[in-house]
Amino acid sequence: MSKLIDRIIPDPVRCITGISAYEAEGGFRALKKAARAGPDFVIEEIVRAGLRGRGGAGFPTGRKWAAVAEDTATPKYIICNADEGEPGTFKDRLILEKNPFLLIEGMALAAFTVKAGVGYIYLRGEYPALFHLLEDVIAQCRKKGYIGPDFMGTGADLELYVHRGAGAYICGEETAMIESLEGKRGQPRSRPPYTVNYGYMGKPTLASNVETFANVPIILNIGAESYSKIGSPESPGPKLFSVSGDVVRPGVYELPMGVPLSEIIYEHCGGIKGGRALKAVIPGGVSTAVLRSDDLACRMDFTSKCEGSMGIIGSGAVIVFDEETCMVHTAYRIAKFFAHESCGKCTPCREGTDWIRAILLRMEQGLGVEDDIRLLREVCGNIAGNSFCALGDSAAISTIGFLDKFGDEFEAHIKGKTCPFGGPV
Amino acid sequence: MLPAEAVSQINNTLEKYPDSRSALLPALYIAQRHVGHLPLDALHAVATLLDLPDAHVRGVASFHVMFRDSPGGRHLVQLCTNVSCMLAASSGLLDVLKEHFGLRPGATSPDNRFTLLEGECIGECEKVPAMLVDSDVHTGLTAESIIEILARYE
Amino acid sequence: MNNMNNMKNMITLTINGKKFEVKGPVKVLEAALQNNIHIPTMCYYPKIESFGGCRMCLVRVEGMYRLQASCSLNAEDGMVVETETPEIHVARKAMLEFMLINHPLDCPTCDKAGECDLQDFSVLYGAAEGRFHERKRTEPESTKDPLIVRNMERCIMCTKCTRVCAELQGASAINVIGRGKHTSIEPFSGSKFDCEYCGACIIACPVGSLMSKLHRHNYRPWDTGEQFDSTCSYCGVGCGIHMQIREDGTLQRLIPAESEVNQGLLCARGFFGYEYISSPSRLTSPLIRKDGKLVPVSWQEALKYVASRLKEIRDASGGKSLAALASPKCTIEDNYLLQKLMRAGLGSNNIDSSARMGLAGLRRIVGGLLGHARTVSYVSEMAQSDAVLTVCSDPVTEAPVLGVRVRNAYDSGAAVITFGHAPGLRHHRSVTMQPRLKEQWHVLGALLSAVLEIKKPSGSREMMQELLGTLMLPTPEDMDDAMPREVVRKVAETLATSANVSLVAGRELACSLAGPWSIMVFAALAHVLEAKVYLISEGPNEHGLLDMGCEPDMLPGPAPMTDAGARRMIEGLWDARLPSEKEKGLSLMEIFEAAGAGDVKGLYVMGENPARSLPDSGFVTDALAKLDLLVVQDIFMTETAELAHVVLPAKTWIERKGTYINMERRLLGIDAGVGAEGKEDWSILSELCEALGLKAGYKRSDDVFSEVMKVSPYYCELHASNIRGETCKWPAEGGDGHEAILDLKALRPYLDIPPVVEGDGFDIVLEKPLFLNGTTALHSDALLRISKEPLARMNTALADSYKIRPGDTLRFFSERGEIEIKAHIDPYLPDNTVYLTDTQESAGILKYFRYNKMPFTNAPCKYTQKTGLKRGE
Ligand SMILES: Cc1cc2nc3c(=O)[nH]c(=O)nc-3n(C[C@H](O)[C@H](O)[C@H](O)COP(=O)(O)O)c2cc1C
Ligand code: SF4
Ligand code: SF4
Ligand code: SF4
Ligand code: FES
Ligand code: FES
Repeated sequence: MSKLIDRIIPDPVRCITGISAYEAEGGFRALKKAARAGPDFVIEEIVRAGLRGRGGAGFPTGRKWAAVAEDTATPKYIICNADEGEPGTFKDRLILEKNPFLLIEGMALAAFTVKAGVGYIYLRGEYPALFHLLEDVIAQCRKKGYIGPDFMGTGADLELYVHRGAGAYICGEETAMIESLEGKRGQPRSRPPYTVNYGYMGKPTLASNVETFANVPIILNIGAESYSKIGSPESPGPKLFSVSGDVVRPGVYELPMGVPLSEIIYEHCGGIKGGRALKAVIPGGVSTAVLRSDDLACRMDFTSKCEGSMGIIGSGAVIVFDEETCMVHTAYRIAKFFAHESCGKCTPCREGTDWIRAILLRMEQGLGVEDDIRLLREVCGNIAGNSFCALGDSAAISTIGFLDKFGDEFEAHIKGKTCPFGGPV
Repeated sequence: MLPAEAVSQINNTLEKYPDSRSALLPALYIAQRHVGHLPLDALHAVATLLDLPDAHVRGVASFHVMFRDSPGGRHLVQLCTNVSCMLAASSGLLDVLKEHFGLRPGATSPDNRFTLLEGECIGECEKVPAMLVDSDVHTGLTAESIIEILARYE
Repeated sequence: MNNMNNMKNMITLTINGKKFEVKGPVKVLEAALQNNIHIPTMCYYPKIESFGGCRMCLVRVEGMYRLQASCSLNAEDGMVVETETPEIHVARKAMLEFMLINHPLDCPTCDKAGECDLQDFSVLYGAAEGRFHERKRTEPESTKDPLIVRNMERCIMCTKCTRVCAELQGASAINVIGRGKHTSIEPFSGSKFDCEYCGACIIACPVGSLMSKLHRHNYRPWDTGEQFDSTCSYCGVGCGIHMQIREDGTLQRLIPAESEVNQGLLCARGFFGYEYISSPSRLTSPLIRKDGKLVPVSWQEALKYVASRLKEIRDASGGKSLAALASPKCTIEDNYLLQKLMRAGLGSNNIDSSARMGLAGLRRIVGGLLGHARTVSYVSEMAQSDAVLTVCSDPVTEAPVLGVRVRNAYDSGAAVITFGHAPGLRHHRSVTMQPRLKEQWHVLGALLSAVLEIKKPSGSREMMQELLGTLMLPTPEDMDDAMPREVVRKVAETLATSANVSLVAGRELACSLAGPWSIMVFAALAHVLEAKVYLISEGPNEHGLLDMGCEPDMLPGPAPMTDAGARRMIEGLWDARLPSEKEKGLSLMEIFEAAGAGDVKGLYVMGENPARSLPDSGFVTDALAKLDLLVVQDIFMTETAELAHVVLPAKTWIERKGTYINMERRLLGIDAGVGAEGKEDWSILSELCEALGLKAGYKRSDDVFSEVMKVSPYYCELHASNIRGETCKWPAEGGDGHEAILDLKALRPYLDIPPVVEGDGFDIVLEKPLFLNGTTALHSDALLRISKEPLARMNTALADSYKIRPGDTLRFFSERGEIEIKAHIDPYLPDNTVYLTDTQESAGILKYFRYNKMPFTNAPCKYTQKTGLKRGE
């Protein structure tokens, strides 16, 4: 029995980019099943399976699909969020490289279920090779009638297009992505109205992450019942973890939700490179707060929390730092990222993220002053909770996380007027 | 003005979208591919083709890292220095580029061959350090390999 | 879905402990404001979409886990809101600190100081402590634009400017450039704005980032003295304007008023076009031609001379040998007295005006057919249309604020169909129909037939029933070659199935080469579609002038010359005789034809410049030169005044009081903000009336208006409400009015489809410039500085056939002369048509045309027999 039906990336080495290979290994079975059982069945299954969005926020996917399905406005759209910009995250890329038909099958299921006729894959501008691959994959599916007018005799239509982003992290934020797809500056919209009712072109729109779409065929293949038994009860299912940094075997790992962080690092990734000690881990992309080695028992799912931090799983990007890494420098590099990516719409994020960056740079260069830590905390506090979208919050959460967990290193930089790690790694 | 081929490519993308404004990013990509960068008259040409206000088009182009308003070198090098790559000492590679090619972040090499950008994560973090040269991804860079790779771009 | 509550109309919410009921849907901020609770804002701007970026308006809403931006949050039933807690103050102070860290501390040299929101809020919430130790953003102030100074160091990125530019004005000329911290507000070019210069962004900017150059560094807000409300006199829209006067009595600036007409909008002419009042070429003293030269004389001498010369001519050759041009730039009072002087003082019916080229004929035919109540609609209501059809009119240049409302309608989902050339609506139209000139009116007729296939006229207006029964129309099939029938049918369907249709037309329709037939087709369209009608008047007081009887066959009221009752009433009131009703007065072009033939010997021109503004201006100038007496009453030494025997200096609308009737037929007032040399037109005329033996004795313009109220039943009704125009709405709100004077019999000869005028070569279409729309504009430095170079625009095919490259100098010939103009190629223009901007130099482009008088209306229709084109050196 092929692994295809119950795994997102059945084979970490092989790329299934020919449609016959995908079909041969059980591809499109879920779609055929749905075509027989009808849209209501699909939504019920997703709800029963307990699938939560893999884009970072963990929103219950079944509710989203149901909301779009219920809206009577037409036309409707589906958008796959393949903007994957959170530093350290590369799991969507792996899905698209290794098993792209799974995404298309997931999107066809969505189109059929919510009655959307057109779909877009909003692909990161930095993945140019995947653009062509996806266009080819879509063409193959269309030729075989898995999408297109009246696909698989379902009476539903689906035209799928790949839309390339052009280098803006904020365009991964759902409403900014829609603005961007509409040909505007990619700045987030106020909610409500929500995307499900007022999305692309002001029409009901289903926007989900690549991995989220890819989970749906698996649910239908193995049934909601067995799916819900994988991993944590509150957020079940398989999850892709992108692991990078100072581990022996970085890469994408498909593991059940709720796996402890220590298991990912030590069992799957072979521990820390060069036999050094672990100093810190960013558990879910740079938007999540950093953890120390004593936090490694944390379970990676949407509900568990580690002491002193908000959500930890984020995009599932685990970045591991060994004992030789300077935390001030790391905090600075992340702050620089947020300052660079702030869209500029709201005051606290536009001005505050760059202020954080500037203070951290000074500290790293040994020019920090006594009061800087307090100032930094206050600036972060003034951003957090006041910014328009989560990017500003993330910048604050990240910095506060470093201050909370590694305050001593910051003080050492200020007192010693230099970086104890000898400047940039 | 854009070459006729660019115009027809842009017109072809229009059918993917319910309105012309949605075709703006693809149109800008096409224009940049043909012109090399996006000077005001290229932006104006795109605006005219899509029936959009000029300032709107410039506002959108300027929002994105991938669109350049000034001519750069023949090849655009984006070396990732974000955390995972940072851990693999990508900043050391910046020094290598400076020494070997006279390349500084944000600038173009004297022979107009390369423009270098200190990039954000390009999603290749398991094979660090990584860079994009035009649209080719190169990973697992070392001081030696980066020189050798760039030597292939004339 | 999630906000079903908002669908309900009334919402009860608690703000700061008090319960309020508000009408929804409404934002929390607005709900608070309606109840006098003020929440500070930086990026909120009424009338445009909320943005939510500045984060000043944060409030605490019970049950929501973070502070909420009240400007973007819908009020919901049962909401409990706090707007002024310590927590909120901390947040607002923090937002101000963020805004200030990159803001220069240059208030002492900033013109905005004293009326700057950032300054005010900093005082309110406590200034930041200055704990920002990094380098501030630096970007030198840009003064590259002729009119707008852009200072990006002060910008707080509220984006109000870009949003009003896009959402209100519809110009989208500026945008946020860059991302994050590295953003700035820039026009497309990065330097010059090259925009519509409506000034909306300047008004919207809360800080000193966008400022008018016209009063840069030369006043402080606290130096402002008195303020006056007035009405812009650049076009027929009649926008309300506040005049800010400095303590020294000079004009500081004009700002848009929140009047019912313009609701805070203005165009470039209104916003920037006021410098002409202090132009060095203003006339200051009366002039009389002595030994061939105009020399200054006293008022007494000048008026005595004019009166005696007029009398001489009248006595020698009769009233018929005298004529006058009234002016839509002048007030009701002025025009009333000019007409009184001509009729009662000089015994002449030869009085007409530039309204002849547009509104006079349109109003007579359309109003006569549909009823006058149907010929006017509110400018502001245009925005609520579901479908708009512009007929050979570009409202964006002819009546700019109306044009902006068409754009607003489009943005709210209306179908906008531009029939003919309307470049101002280029980004705001659903369909454009641009048939060749020779067939365009026939295509309009075909459109009417296509509409009639779908929609049957309702209503019982007999005259319209008769008209529709007898008016001959081509079918879409007949016109297939000129415009594909599918297009015509599609547009007809859109119009016929829309609930709220608006039609716009102006001078091009009035001067149609196809004659009154076109106007009847237009009226029939309006009737069948039950459309709101917008007839553009290019002058501020065209309706008022027509109401005052400044037409050869009409008396003030207006009443027909033949109305015995009106004649008796007026003669009694004036204690004077009117010319006989059989005395057929001369219309606009007939006056010049008669002057050329020597039959008219004396002409009194008030506030008009026929040597520039009429077609065939060479012929007009020759005719003017033949006059025995030419009196010109104006504010400038115009091309016409150069030829005059007597020149009398008048005052501008900024320097005097009076009333106008705008294109909505709303009574509007103007006020004297500043003093000036010269006399008000009405008072000059009053003195002349007296000198010619009429009872005058008016002390103020109000005295004249009181007499107008006695003469005109409408004006009695109008004046019952206040002049600032809040309630002066006749006839837009119904009533047939008092002037159903049209006899359909008179139109019978024009019911047939007019023949297509065959011509070869290309068509020439004039593009009216937005900024320079007349003599006053030409004396406004600011408008001259932004005016665009005149161009001959054409598409690639036409350019290729003449081997023209962009930038070539072209020479266009007609039997009347030639004109040099630069070529511009725009691939999106229709075939075989050259679009010429008015060149403005010497007599402008109109001298290149001849004219035909349209039957029935006598409107001059421009045409040329030959058109040639050569490439210059
Ligand atoms: C700053 C920011 C960046 C984001 N980037 C991404 C992204 O690259 N990919 C993604 O799937 N979701 C991203 N998200 C989350 C999306 O807004 C959204 O929650 C997600 O696409 C929903 O899909 P899901 O329901 O499948 O999780 C981002 C959110 C924020 C605030
Ligand atoms: S927090 Fe504000 S500035 Fe930052 S990305 Fe979101 S909307 Fe843009
Ligand atoms: S003046 Fe008017 S048109 Fe020009 S940028 Fe400002 S708002 Fe836009
Ligand atoms: S220029 Fe003025 S209105 Fe425009 S964003 Fe800046 S502060 Fe706001
Ligand atoms: S951090 Fe360099 S590729 Fe992701
Ligand atoms: S006024 Fe509400 S966020 Fe600016």
